[in-house]
Amino acid sequence: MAKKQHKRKTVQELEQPVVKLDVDYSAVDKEPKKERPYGRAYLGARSAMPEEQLFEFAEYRPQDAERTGYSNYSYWKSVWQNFVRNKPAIIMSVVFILLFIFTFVAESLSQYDVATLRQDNQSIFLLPSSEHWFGTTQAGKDYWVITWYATRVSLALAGLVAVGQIIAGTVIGLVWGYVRKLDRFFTELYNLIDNIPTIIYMTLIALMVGQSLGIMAVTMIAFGWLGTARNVRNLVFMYRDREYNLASRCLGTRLWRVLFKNIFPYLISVIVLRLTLAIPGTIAYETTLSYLGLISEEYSLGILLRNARDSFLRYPHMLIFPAVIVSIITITFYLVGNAFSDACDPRNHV
Amino acid sequence: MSQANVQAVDFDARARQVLSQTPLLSAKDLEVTFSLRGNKLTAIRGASLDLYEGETLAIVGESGSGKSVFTKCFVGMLDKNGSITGGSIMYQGEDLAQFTEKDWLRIRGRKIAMVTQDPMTSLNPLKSIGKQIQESVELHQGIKGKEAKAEVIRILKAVGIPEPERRYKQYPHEFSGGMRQRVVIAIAVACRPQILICDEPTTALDVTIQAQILDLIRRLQKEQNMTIIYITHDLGVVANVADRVAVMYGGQVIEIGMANEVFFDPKHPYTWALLSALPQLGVKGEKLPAIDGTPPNLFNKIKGDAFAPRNRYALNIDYIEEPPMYEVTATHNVKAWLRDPRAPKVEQPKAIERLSELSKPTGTDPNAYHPHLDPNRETLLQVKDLQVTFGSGRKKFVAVNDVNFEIYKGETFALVGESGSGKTTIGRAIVRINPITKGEILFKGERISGRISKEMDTKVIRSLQMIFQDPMASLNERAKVDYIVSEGLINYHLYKNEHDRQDKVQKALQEVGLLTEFSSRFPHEFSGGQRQRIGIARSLIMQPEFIVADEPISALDVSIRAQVLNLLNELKKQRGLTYLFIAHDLSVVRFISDRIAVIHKGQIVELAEAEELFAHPLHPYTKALLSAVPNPNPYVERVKQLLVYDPSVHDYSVDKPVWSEIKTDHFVYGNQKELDGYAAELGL
Amino acid sequence: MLRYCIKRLLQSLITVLLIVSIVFLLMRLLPTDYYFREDELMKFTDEQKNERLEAEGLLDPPLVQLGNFYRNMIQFQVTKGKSVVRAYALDQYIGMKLKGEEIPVAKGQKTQWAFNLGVSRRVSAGQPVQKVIAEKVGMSMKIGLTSLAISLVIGVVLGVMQARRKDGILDRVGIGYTVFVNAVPHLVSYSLLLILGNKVFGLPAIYKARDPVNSLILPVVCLALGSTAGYMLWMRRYMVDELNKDYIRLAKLKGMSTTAVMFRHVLKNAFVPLAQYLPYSIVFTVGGSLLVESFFSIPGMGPMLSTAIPRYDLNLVQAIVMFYAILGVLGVFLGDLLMCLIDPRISLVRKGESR
Repeated sequence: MAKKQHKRKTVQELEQPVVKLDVDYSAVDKEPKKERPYGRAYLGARSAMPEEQLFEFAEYRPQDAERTGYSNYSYWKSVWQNFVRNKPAIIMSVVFILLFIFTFVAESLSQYDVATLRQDNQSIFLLPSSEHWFGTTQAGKDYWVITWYATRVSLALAGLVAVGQIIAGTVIGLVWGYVRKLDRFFTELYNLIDNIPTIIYMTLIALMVGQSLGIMAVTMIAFGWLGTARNVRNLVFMYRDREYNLASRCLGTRLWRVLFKNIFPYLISVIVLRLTLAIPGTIAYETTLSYLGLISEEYSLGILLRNARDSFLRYPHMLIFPAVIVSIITITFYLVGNAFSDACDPRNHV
Repeated sequence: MSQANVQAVDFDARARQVLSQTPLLSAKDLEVTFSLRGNKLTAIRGASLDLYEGETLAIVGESGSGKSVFTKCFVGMLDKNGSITGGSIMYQGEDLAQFTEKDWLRIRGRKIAMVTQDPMTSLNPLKSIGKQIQESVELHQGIKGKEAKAEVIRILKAVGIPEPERRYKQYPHEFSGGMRQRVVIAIAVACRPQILICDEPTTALDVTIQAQILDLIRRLQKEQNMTIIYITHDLGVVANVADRVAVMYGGQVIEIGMANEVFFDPKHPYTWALLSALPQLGVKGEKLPAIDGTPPNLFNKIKGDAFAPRNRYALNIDYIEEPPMYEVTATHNVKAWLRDPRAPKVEQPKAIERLSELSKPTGTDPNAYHPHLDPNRETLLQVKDLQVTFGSGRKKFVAVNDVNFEIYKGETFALVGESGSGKTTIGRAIVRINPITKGEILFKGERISGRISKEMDTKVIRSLQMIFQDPMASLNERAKVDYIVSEGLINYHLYKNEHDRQDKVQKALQEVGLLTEFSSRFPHEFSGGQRQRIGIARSLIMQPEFIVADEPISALDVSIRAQVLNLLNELKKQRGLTYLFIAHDLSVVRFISDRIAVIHKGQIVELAEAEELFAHPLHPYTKALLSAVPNPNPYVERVKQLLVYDPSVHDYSVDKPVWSEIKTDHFVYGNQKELDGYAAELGL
Repeated sequence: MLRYCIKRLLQSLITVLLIVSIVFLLMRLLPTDYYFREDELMKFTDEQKNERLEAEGLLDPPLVQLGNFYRNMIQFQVTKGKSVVRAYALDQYIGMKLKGEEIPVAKGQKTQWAFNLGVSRRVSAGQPVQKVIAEKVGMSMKIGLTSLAISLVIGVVLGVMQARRKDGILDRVGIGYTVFVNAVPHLVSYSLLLILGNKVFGLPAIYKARDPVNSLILPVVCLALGSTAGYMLWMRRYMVDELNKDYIRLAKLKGMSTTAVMFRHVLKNAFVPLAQYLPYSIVFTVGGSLLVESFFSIPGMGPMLSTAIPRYDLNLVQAIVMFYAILGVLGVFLGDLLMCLIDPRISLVRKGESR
């Protein structure tokens, strides 16, 4: 090798002969050499080199060349790092988690129990006090236990509906996007449903089937998959004919494996975004439906807000407690969803 | 039709001219830093450059070399997160590096204008192109309304756009890529700038269009007396345009000199490597002297010479201290320790000497085996009357029509054409990704197109594989290399147990020259060349006999192309593979292939043995394509006659064209009259 | 262009027919009691009910009823005073005319062509439903258009300002506003506004017919609240998107100042995607806002459905659904049409693309 030929030559010696240096490429490529210290340790060793060695050929190692452009970039690590940088989202998440845990213990802290609350005309619209921490309702019932119970109902509903919408949306979107023959059908179906405000469908279902929370949940799923499905479909369209999927086709990969291994991982960020936004969406929607009288549930945050409408100008506590809780939940998920989606965008990665 | 061209250049005269001037623009030790979420990236690490009036200076470098960022500083167009952190750019007595946005309004466009890279996205889609040029005219020439419009029409005519009055009102989407680039150039020259920066203006265009645009820029330079900085990664383009050449690597100018000096007497090991890796300078059948590895990651701190780890001539000091600029001649400077008097003397690589002989055919290994000349040649793949259409009804588009060819076992068959010619469609039809409309494809005599049995399908998948164009898009970013490479194995369960599978993956990785430790990593950790090799490993693991290589090197950096070409040739030798090599670049194809088919608008127009095609092109399209291929020898490139193909020369109204073997193994598409003419040309 | 319009109109028509038919058929599944007014239910015997149902064809198979519904949508009516004496479906009328039969009109009776969707049985007894709807539309449009105009102007202007000084103070405040409005349920923000408006400015908490101007301020503000946030959000996003595009770089390279680039290139291009939804928004002001109008007890279109449904006024529900379906389809259609006009890339006529 080059190095051996030029051991310890002085400047004067070097002036004279012209060295023919035609590197034997095949030899370099074939012989894997022992690892030598790389990076700082190695460079440190060299900087202590006497001057005459400085102008000798260094040993050429193709492995080092392979490493010159190496980046230790990791997609999900970058996503996490970006996400953590988003202060508002992190703070709200902590607040929400505490609130979420609290909903399970809040009722046991009070002497009242939702199941045994009775109408009490003596204590109508009491302001918050040590007896009734959130005051009482128009029926004289303790508002603390009602509010926390309603919170759990709303959260459960929101979680259920959001998950249902996303699962339905993702599955339909995948099929819609990947199976060319079904594209027309789903597009027409989408247009058919999307042309009219969902609230119309909701009212029709409420009229014809019933107004229980369960029915409304199912209906919200049935009409709420559209956005996700369309989003997923567009992404599938984008990735379907990427070269790596063509490569999979060349390799004879089966459809389900292509969907699961090649396409689904690219949808995760969108799915998480949709999921986190579906929760505040559902809660907000539930309040609207409750207000319009399409949900006949005893307690949910939406129902509490509706009931507050007639009294909050005089008894603001009727509005404030559920409103604050609802706002914390919805703002948290909204911020987290957007923060996550920003973090997932490769353009924001280093 | 051939276009008038410039006479041979006299670089010495230009050098004298340069030496007698003071620089028009002078960048000194420029440093540009980008901050990306707390991380600092030093894109330009002390680059210096002088620009002289009236010259064309080409800046050449790979992606990430900083050539584009460097010149953006000259127009104050750095991205928001980037800033000039050191050095100066002196222009007309002012330091552009200190300019505020308000100061720039005096210079940008008016004095220094720029032509950007991608014509497809550079124009406002909602504004008519006339209006977009007019903005430029009104801003800088002080005329308005009708007068300005007349000027716009004059400029449109000047940049070679036919029917300028009608075109004035049209929108960008009604223009083809080449036409849009002409509009972008029109916008830039309408400012009447002193300096025009062209940032890879032809990279996104076909070679024939590229040649026309280069001609246009040269003509406009003469007419308007502009000084041009031309940024490119293509040495052939450099040879075409440049009076002087600056080579950039790792954010520095490492060699700068007159074009003849840099091409024929380069002094930097990187320039040597870049030139020797050119397929045009390779000997057919031999390995190209490739540069290992990839350009440096500028997020890391670079000590010493950035090129050192890839440099076969690296000295110990290259790892410790950055080299200073050494003067070779008054116009030629180089930043390499090898020029130090204390350093050993090294001769430049042999390949560079071949540059001066470049007008002659590429050297060929006389002992090379050409499968198609073998009397017992075996037809591996046969394409008969192939037609592929997309869409239906009014939107129906015939992508490939009436295509016939045979590929023999062991050969590399090249399919060359411009974008949209249908070459990729043919490749995809063969591996059954695209359905075909008419004709059939036979593999070893068995039909593999249309409906085939399941066993046949498995057989096709195992024997026919494809290598894709874009290494960034052809690997699943969310899967580990291990899964990507073994995908085919998993599909057909071609392994005994988990251990066996891993073993096979490792072997495949080694075979393509990757380290086995890479198998547990994700694709985004790799560079383009490495990713392309992962893609090759993925196809190889199926033990195919036939590989469709769809432009496997066109998306790669110059220094990396040779790695992949060597690998493909090596694999062919070892495994007896047969390739269908799809490309748009004839120079690459000449180096790698045995036979070449030229395709134009879905129709193969000529097919011949590689050297035969270069020596005796018959079809006017082939001739035009050959004339447009950039040649990295500036003396040859500067005097070449550019032929423009005009499809209307064919009169097929009465005499229908046929696909005919005019000479043994030389096919051409034409009608009887044309064929007679071709035969006469060949002296038959 | 015309071809495209006709094609799209036909498609839209089919969509509307499909939705109306489905709803119509679904409603036939409900108990027949809902076809009577509350007071009629109390006093009618089963036979009487059956007689009525029989007479009105409500016992026919659902598909026959659907056919009758469409046949009778346009009627030739013979009226006396305000009540309809006889009505002929369009095909009946044409049939009679073809046979040369005269339509008997007694003295004091008048004839007229009318649009017939049945009568409201419960919400406003005996009134043709289209009349019931028509009475409410004006109010909804008044609120809707006012708030749309306000939010469009404020939203677009603020969005543009946000994009110009991205990450500046105004941008941050604007983002905070959009987050709040988009995340928090409207019911909560309306309630807060109501408290503010009522306690601080003394505005009426519910609609008062005597003081329409003052009592409409809060609803308009509430309605504008959400759409302003929407326009801000999207305008800002589209502006930022456009600003990062290559053609902006080229425009700057010409030497144009940032402001000139903003006004001459970015603004229009960023507004185009917003414009697509503008017709939809305008058309839907007619439909009113369910929540706002209910919240402030405004006699508009909004609360109609939620009043009609609990009271099972089937004809009215039917008509409202049809009304909304037409609005929706029309809005989307006009949006697409507008896009064709302002975006040269969308060409409906095939121009020979020249190269």
